[in-house]
Amino acid sequence: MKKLNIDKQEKSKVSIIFSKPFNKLNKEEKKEVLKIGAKDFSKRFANVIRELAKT
Amino acid sequence: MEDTQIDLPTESDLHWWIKYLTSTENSIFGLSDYLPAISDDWYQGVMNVVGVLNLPHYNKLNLYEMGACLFYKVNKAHNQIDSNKRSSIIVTFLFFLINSRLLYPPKKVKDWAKMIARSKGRAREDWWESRLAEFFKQNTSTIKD
Repeated sequence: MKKLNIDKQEKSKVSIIFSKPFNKLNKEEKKEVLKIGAKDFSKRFANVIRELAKT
Repeated sequence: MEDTQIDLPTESDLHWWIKYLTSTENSIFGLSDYLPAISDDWYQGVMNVVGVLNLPHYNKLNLYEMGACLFYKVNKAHNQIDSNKRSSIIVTFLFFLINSRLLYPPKKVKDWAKMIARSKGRAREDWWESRLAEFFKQNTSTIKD
């Protein structure tokens, strides 16, 4: 299973916020999901986004 | 049923998503300089595609098929969205994220974006989306920790 590429502090929040459907989360929890996801995406996809920007 | 509910991103989700992708905290990864030019038109273009997927015709799709439709349609929406290949990846990652799935691996996702962009017009759209849905099924993981 692929794991989120995030730090320890964020991992503690993941099991709570990802255990509920996104549309059942409150605004702050939704923002937390997006914030954690953005960090993972930035780490893992930065290279391919950079490559595509140059094509 | 809750466990089969598919969430599509709202405009608010999209704004927050871009805000975090371009945040100072994430600037160390060097992504910000290579994102598409994000404008009101870009948001509108993406939300137009999302609006299509909210139509009853798409109700029966499973998560992977829905992700494939989103990826394909953003990739091909040249008249509404700039930087389509990058936009399709950014928006589809968000889609899977809000459905508690992680999309990987980046290089293969990039290859799909390029292959679809190179394909002629919208020829064989169903075929592309079907193959892409299978790819997503094999290359997304449930987010647990």
